[in-house]
Amino acid sequence: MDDLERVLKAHPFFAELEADHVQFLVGCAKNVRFRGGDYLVREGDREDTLYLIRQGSVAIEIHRPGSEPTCVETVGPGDVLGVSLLATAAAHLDCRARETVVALALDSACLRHKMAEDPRLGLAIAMRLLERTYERLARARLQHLDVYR
Amino acid sequence: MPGVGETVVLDRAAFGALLQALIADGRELVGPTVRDGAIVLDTLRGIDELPRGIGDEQGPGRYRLRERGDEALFGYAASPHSWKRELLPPRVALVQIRRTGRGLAFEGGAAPLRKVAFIGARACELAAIAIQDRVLRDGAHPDPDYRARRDDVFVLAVHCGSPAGTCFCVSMGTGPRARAGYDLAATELLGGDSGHRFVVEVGTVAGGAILARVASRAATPEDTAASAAVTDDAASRMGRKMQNEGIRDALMANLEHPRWQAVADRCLGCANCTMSCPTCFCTSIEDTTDLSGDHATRARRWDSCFTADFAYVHGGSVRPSLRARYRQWLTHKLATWHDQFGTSGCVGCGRCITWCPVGIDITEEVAAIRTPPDGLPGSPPGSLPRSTNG
Amino acid sequence: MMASPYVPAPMAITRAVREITDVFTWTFEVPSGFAFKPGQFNMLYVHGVGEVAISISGDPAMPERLVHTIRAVGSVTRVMAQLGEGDVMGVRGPYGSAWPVDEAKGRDVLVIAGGLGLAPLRPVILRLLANRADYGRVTILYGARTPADLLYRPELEAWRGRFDLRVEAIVDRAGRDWFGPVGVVTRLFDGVPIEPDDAVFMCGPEIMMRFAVRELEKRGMPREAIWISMERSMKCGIGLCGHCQLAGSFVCKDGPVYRFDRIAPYLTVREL
Repeated sequence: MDDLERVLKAHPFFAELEADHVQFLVGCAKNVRFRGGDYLVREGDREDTLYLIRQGSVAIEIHRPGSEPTCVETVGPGDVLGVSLLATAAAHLDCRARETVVALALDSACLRHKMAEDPRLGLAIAMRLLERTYERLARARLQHLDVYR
Repeated sequence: MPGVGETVVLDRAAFGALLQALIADGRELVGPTVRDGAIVLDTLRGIDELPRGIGDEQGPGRYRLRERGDEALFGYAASPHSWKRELLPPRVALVQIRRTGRGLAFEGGAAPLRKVAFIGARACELAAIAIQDRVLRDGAHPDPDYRARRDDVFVLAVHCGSPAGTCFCVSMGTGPRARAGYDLAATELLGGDSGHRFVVEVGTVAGGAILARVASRAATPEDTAASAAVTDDAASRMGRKMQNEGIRDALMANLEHPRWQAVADRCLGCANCTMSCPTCFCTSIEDTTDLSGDHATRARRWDSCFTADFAYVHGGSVRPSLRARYRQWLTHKLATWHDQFGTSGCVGCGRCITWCPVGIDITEEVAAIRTPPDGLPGSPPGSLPRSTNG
Repeated sequence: MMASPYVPAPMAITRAVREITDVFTWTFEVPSGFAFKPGQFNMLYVHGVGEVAISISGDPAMPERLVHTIRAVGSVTRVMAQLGEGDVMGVRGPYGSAWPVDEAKGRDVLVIAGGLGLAPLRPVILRLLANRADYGRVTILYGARTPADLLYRPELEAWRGRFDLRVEAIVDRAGRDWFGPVGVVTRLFDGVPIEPDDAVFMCGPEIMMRFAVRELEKRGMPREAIWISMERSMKCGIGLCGHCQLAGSFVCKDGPVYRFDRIAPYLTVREL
């Protein structure tokens, strides 16, 4: 088995994905590495990559004049970034590596193409994205409530 | 001296003498008397202050006195007052605090040294007193003021002969005949060959001792039968009936029943029900100071779960809607009271029905709420464990 | 006549310390010792103003020091925030139920705190650490609003330095000077072992606790293994005034510490 394939399989996002589906996706994937301070995504960028974080911590931040950027969530090993791959929307937040970050980067256009080619794969990916998005929404709602006040 | 368990008969004069004997014993008589168009509980100086020949008509949101056309002294049912006013007064100073330089000196309030006799307490009222005893006296932290007032009360109970339209003591198992909690229990009998007389049962040695000071004769089987007939007759003329069977689970399984909103739409949140209810015990602690600020008082005063800020957490009221507060009152009284104290909180006296300005009838509400709207039984949450701590 | 449970004992503040915004900690020296169980609370009286229920936050093994951490949020506590060393308070207690430290023996213990919820948990943390050999893994997960709102931060950092304890803290939002995780407290669950046999002690805002229980259950934790500390307004603190009732339970005497399965049905009924 390809080393990249093994790494893909090991990531929690692809847990229980069929072996031939994983193989099918390898062509869209590559290993990437960021140094602390690098941006994976900047606000306004087209969201053209799905990142599966393997190591390191990424801060999801928003910047505004007159103060330091505010981090609203950190993501780490096992998490994904760029879940809006199905819509070609512009990113609304910065994602900055806080230390060395190792990730798998999947090209969104490539991924969308493969999902269209194999609807069963498409469904499996879409369901996973939905689950992650739902969890993120629930957490964001809880943070929004500012319960510790 | 008549012994515990014995029954004697007093004529009207002897009954009057009995009241005087209690006064001579240093007791303040508290009992029913007519004032402001109602029968209230007040200090009595003798038999003449009892509501002679007065009866009452009670219905949802309705209370009237009427002339009975006879000589009955106890020919009526529950008054707007209950003995709660004596045992758990509306306002009691609990703690006096004095500033001493930078320090504080605390002193507990003392209950007044008043010897009291309750005249004419009814079976439902004795049941209510017993319920409040469990809450306020028999728990891990007895209320010392309640306990002191409760300790030396002489109870002259009266078995009911004239239930009113809102009574339902029979379905609550609390009356019309008093079974315990009295020094003496009397049944009033009118007219006939034997004339106006009282069949009096001795409940305690203290009761027998007071009775020994007035003229009486031993009760005959006819007297005892006549006494039983009075309460049997009263039991058959109950104004209402509470569906009390399995009520705890029935109410707790229907916490989202639409009827709660329907009753809340009528309810004014005026708290009359909690004030007139003989078992409602909720209080609040109020702090006041004198002008210099050196002297402060902590007082316990009646409160009601109907008030908007009764239950709150940082952020606001836990029960902002009247629906939630009505539900709290009724489910506490009839359901969760069982979880807490092993009995119902309701004695079937009907005061909450009579004194509700919009005439909400809890027997009617319970009948409606017990039936799930879709016909399917809900499942009630289990009762929470009672405290095992001191 | 019996001693009245309404009459407080006078105690002078021997130390008053500012913690995070609007939060302060009082220490009272009690030479005869103020014995209490972790999880219990006192009613604290301010002359002429009123009383509030405040959890005890001190070390149960050091009863000669009574410690309370208080947030200035209401009429009484705002007055308390102006007081300091030498001022005399009235103290009644200790009242309420305790964290089940005996039931947790031999098990891994997970302590989850949110915001000021760390204050009622501090005594049980100190108890666990003082009897460390009686327990398995001990983990503390703490969520706060921002890094500036981490309560007892120096002590948390000291605990974190121990080899026999795991401490993780997370904040709702942060600037660039925070290098720890950012997010809701449940985000910390993925990074720690959570086993059905663990004992969980949790205190924080009710919403946070409900959210956290859901996440714990997703990871196989049974409700019988989770204990929470509840809050309701109290006037008497001794089960006589009726204010603190949650359905049939008096939070002042049946709580404030409850096993979650017993209280769960009541937490989902709105406005109960």
